[in-house]
Amino acid sequence: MKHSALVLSACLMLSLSPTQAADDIKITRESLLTQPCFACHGAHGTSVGAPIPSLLGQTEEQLYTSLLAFKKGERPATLMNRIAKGYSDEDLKLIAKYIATQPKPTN
Amino acid sequence: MANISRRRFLQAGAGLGALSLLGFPMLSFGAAAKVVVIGGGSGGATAARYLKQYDPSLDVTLIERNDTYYTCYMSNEVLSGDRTLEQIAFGYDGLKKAGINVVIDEVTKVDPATKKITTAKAEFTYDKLIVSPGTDLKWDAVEGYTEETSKEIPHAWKAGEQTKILRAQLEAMNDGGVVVITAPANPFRCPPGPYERASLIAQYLKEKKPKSKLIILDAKPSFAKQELFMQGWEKLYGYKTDNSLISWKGLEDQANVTKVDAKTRTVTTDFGDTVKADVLNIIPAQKAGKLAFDIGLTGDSGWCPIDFKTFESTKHKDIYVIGDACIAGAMPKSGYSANSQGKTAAAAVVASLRSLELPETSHINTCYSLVGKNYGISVAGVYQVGKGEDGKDSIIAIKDSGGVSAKDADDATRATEAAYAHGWYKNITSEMFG
Repeated sequence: MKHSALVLSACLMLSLSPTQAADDIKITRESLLTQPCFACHGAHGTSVGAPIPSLLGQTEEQLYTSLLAFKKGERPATLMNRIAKGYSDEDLKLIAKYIATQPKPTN
Repeated sequence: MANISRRRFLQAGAGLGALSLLGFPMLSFGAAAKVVVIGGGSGGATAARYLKQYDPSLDVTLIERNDTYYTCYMSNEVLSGDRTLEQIAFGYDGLKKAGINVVIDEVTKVDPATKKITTAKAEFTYDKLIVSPGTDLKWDAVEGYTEETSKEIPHAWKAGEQTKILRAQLEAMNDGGVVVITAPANPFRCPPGPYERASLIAQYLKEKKPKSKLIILDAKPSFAKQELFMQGWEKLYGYKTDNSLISWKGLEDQANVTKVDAKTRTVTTDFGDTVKADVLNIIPAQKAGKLAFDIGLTGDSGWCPIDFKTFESTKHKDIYVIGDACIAGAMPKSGYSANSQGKTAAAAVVASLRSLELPETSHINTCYSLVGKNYGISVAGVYQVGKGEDGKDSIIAIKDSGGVSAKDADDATRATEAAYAHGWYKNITSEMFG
């Protein structure tokens, strides 16, 4: 079965080339939830606008803990407490997961 | 299963061929789908970027009439002298590097039936079109205010040359002069914008021309972040004292400006009161950008109705409308909203081209306003598709979230928000144009 899967994917690539296979396109609930955050925190969560912090470099767990603390008002904030209240705990978990997998800046 | 039979191979290939034809009927075999974005502002630049990010194989073209984009946000800092016009100017090299075909040209016609775009110099076809046409001013809203008179009496509601004119007039004004800003009724681009402008012009006057006054004549009974603005004005500009630098008159004070005499810089309200200015800034009522009207994307309100999940026009299939021109429920007309909408529309276009399901969408808006040096305030919102107050589908603010900065915040918090405003500006412009 491994071979036929290989052939199958080869066919798929041929038939769609140079268009990308649908499998490679990742439009997810977490991508849609998280992308608006980058307008403040920088492309892919890497801030070039101090003092706004980068989101990249933190683990999923760290991010989730921070977001929850903002939501509950347990962490001081000017604005993030207002934003975090707009999401369910499950949404915040998805956001943390998505940020943690973002690519590092190339330069 | 080491040797796959030729027959099976052919079956698999034929099956996939059929699938391709069914799944992607608009694509010619092997060619990349063509997506065109018209308008290279906050909405369009973001959408083009995210189209490529979601699907690098897409053929993405951005058509924009100007080679330099001046952001409206932070243009009030040009008026106060805190920033130069060059510091709010952005080109399209970053988008070109991201693999987007950037065309600086004027769109003259879009035919939704043949999916053909005509520009001054060329023709384009599209599988999907995203338009971010911005706003146009309603020249008939204030009698006597025309495109021609706006060269003398700037609106400065589109940044660039207009910002320059207003700044030059403020610099040329004598100490003791009167600056008048007229603010329009809702909805319009950047709801807190006129009041940030008043604040930052007041900051300039306080420093350089302290005998001067600034009057806001408003067509509305109230405005965005009003309590916070007025609190800041009290602290910084003597608001509510006899010697206040700023005064605000709203609809209830009969301050709706309906007429202007350009020669004498005198405005008349609908109750016949007149106010003479030394520097006059008229911010007229607005409607969707001309392109939206030309394509037939607007509804009776002068704005563009859309599917709230995908931003696809309800008037024409395969055309998506984002930014200030679209009717996006509770989302304000702001650069941040346009950025958020551009991301969603890009995802919706790619999902549609690939026959993928678009998950439930989500948006953020944050508008920082500067009231003075080291004095910032904000309003934020998180949005999703839901039922509006009238029970119809809309984009709604999520309950118990968002809102404005704390009223009792200390000086350090206001200074932090001012610093965040500048940080935000760097990040959003870098995300779009960098």
